[in-house]
Amino acid sequence: MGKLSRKVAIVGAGMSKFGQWWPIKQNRDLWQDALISAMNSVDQNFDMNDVEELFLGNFTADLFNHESHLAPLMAQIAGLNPKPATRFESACASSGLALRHAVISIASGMTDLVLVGGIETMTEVPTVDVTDALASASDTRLEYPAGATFPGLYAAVATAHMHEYGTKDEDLFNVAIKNYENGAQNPFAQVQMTIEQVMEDKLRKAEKRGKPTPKWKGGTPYDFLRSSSNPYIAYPLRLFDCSLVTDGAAALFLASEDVAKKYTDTPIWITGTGQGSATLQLADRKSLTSFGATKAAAETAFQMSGLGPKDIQIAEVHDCFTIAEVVALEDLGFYEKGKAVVGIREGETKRDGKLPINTSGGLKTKGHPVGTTGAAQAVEIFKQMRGRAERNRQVKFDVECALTHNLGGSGATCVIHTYEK
Amino acid sequence: MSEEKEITLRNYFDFLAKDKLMGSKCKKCGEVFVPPKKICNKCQSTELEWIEFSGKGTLATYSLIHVGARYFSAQGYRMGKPYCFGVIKLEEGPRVSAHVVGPSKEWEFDPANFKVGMPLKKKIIKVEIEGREPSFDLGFEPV
Ligand SMILES: [Zn+2]
Repeated sequence: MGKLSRKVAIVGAGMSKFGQWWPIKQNRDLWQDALISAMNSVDQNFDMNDVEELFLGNFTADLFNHESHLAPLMAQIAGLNPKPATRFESACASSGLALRHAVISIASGMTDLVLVGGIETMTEVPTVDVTDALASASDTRLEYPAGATFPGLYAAVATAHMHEYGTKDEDLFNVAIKNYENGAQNPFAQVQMTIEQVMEDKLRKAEKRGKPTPKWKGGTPYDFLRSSSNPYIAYPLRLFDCSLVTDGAAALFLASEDVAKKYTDTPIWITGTGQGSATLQLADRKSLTSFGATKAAAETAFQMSGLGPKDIQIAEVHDCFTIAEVVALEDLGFYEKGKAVVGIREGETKRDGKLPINTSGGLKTKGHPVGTTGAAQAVEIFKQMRGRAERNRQVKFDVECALTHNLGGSGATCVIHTYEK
Repeated sequence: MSEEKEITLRNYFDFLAKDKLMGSKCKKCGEVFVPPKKICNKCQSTELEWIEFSGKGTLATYSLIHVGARYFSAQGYRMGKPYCFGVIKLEEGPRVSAHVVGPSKEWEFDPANFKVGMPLKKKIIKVEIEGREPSFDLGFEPV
């Protein structure tokens, strides 16, 4: 089993505001926003000339933007040419993978300071093309003719989970409600409203347009989420179970233990990195209610860091769909199989719970520019561990140990990192 | 007949168009694969032969997809008129992805018609979309 032969730290991290930016902002604009945010987060002595290499995660600017040779371009924007610049692709785990390879580069002694990026602009193409582009990360020869979509595959996991463990609609609603609550506290999130605020907003708009009053008026978020205002996208998953279509970028500066202290007195050490794979086709997997790639990546990352699930105090997990957060909490070992929904129901994963999950709002409300997500998860952990999360989002205890879980496609790739002070 | 054909994905689909669900079987350890493979992932043998699957199975999991891929919206499915994407466990062991259909298109719209574990049988679906060659897709229907 692998070990990091040299310590690696995050010394700066930032992101663009996530949202639907096309055509006002494009890949290179969002990248500059993320770079500025990351540069400003470095405490002292930052100099772009010290950066030796760019590791860039991007799923498919090819299909979304007709741009494929992205890494040298983004190195150009950062002023890094002629230094090495490489693009990493593993669907929604693309920048998690870029981060992992940056860690490996520094640990190996090849580099001392590198830039990790994530970038995706999805809204340049119509929604049906976004659906098709995302579906291209599944086993297209076999799953596409069967009708699989990205939500459809996770919906099939949800059906199996409901069948096996009795998971209910409300259990998934609880995940969404919590992540809206968190997103409302994140100035970089695509949606900065609680579910209650979403309801008020919809009521106001309905009244303005002279539309009939929705039945859920005066009701609870559950009444709203069970109504036709929350239509099925892929039964049993509804609109509010799905993450968003998002444009955004994120950037991180990673340093070796030899130079980290030059840039900050409070580096965040990446102590474990793990990656796993699984069959591309969902049908070929042994389990339909668990992701083998997550389990493999977690085992490697935990073994490397010497940590276990019980040591982790906060985590950003890959909630591309509400069911994915439930399954992640089980696969990562935070809960027994079928028991995560109980912990979620009891508030354990809220900001003030004992294991805050997705304080950023997650992919659900922060947004999911697919190739950016892995890097953006690390941005949130960097802020939380240094006590600098904006608004009312900072957890109330000192975070010593954290984890990010970044899943690619319908779970065929997983990249996990552990972080310590 | 089938023995002469090379084990390729193209030939698997050609068989489907002739109403045959074909895979391969390892001559050494008996493991079966669908679509067929030339390499056995269980024992690393490269001695595999074509076999035909019975086409009988059960519904392992499913989703009724309202916002479909372009290929399915071209078949008339849309919001409120979903199609069923299914994972089917074949009686020979492996699972496959397939479109699950019923006696009518409307039958697919109602979740009450679907149950994990329900028995299904193969039904090859001929899909004709304007401007495309007709294709023959793997489908299943209730027994
Ligand atoms: Zn064999």
